[in-house]
Amino acid sequence: MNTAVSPPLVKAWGLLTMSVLTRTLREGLVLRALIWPALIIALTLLISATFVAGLYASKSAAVPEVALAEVLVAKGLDARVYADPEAAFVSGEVDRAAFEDAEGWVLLARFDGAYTTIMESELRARLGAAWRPMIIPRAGRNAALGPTTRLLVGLLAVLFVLYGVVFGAGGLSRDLQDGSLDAERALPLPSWVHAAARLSAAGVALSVAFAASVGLIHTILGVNAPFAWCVVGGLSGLGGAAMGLGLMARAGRAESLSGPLSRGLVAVTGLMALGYSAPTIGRQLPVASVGALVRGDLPGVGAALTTLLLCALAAWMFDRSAR
Amino acid sequence: MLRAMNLVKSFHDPAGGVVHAVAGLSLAVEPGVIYGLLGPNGAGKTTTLRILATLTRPDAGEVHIGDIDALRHPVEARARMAYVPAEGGLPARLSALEAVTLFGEVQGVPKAKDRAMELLHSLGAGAYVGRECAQLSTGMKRRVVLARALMHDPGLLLLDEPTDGLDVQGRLDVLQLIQSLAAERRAVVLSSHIMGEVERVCQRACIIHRGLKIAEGSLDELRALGGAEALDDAFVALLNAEPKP
Repeated sequence: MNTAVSPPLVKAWGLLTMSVLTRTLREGLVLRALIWPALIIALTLLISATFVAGLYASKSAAVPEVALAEVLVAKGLDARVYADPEAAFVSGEVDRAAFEDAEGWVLLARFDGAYTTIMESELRARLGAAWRPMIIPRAGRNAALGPTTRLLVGLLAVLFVLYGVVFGAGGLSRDLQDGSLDAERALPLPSWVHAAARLSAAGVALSVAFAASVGLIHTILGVNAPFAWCVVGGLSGLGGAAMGLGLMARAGRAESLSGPLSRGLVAVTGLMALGYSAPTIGRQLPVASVGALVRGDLPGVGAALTTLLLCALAAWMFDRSAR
Repeated sequence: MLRAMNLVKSFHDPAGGVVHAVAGLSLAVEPGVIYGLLGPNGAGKTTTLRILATLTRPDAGEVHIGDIDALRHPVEARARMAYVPAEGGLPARLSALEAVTLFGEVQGVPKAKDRAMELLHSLGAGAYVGRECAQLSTGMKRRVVLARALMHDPGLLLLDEPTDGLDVQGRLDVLQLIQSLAAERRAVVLSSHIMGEVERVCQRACIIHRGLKIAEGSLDELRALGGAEALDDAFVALLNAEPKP
């Protein structure tokens, strides 16, 4: 009878990983969960940017003198000479106006912002005032937006860690219920290969989806250290999946999904909080490195090693659960 | 082909007690024989099959598949057998062909996709190869599961309640399939609590109750032991003869 020769473990691992990945991505709900957060964030940012740009885009200015208009035009404003700049402003024809009345020069502006500041600066320079505002060009949008994007990407990373727990525990629970885990375990492979395949599939799905999300936000806003975020997000998603898989394997059929899932979610939340409150330690730990990076601490090599250790522990728990 | 000796397996129940799922069970199955594992619900049939399939490690006992000590070398033992759980165990989101091919590829079966197609056609599931397993009827799922189990041409088949959930025609079809597999010199162990199907296909059977083997032999021997002409009656008589816990 059986003349088949089992392929190398690595090939079997790869085949099972592809199978789990295919099954996962064919679940419409899972696919939507991976794609929607980034799309919603991107869409929200674009709508906000469009709104803000529309609000602050006006460069119009009314001035009483040709010389002043020329200086302002040279600075990027759409300045024109009006006989009565104040009337042009009040009528809504322009968003800024400068003119001289009985008490001195007056600047009217409908918005704050760079162009209003430029206009004030030029007026003060022209009058020889003791001080004038200056706009110093930004070092880069990343530096200016750093805290905002860090928080934004950090929240996304937290979401992907929680997904990891759901993937790890939920996938195993489903396979326990429908018997496909038993069928797979009856294959002539060491038990850890099945755990490794599940973790690899979760790691790949979460890393790719998270990296795409970071890329999208980086394109729109700019993200500090996007590569570090991709590494930390991917590793932490994998860590979450390992946590979910290990806890579900330990519970086995004796418990429904809700118990291991809630324990896993609490554990990863605790780890991320630890990383945020003690980033020096957190940057070396799985999942906790998300919290550390939100605080600005780049991950250490230890984070990768401890994540692999967590995966090994989950595989061991998976193996033990068969006994 | 299969020899199991003095299998013992206990579990802790949630109340802190101990449940003896299998208590000193031994059995032997030769190639070409369909062996029935009979017993009421909770008798220990599934645990026994899981031990034989090396999915559950017994507290004591031995399992040999051919000349392989299955407890010491489970991976080698699994290469010679196939286990089909009661639930079937088909991944919902893979097509029938993908599910069967995967098992062939993982086990190094040459031209796994061609063999999967061939098996699915020969088992009457050829029209459904591209359909997701979740969309298959229970009867069709059973055919796909059997095709998957046969991918690596195992000498031993362990089938946990293989006709569970099937209608009359589906049940007859699956039993016929099992008979044809045994005719190819495969050893088959199937668990069931339906006497009619055991009478139809099994040559030998053992009745287990609370993890204990209470009778074993050919179907005629079991009828004689139970003192009844019908296997159902013999089964009930043998169970009732057991002392209550």
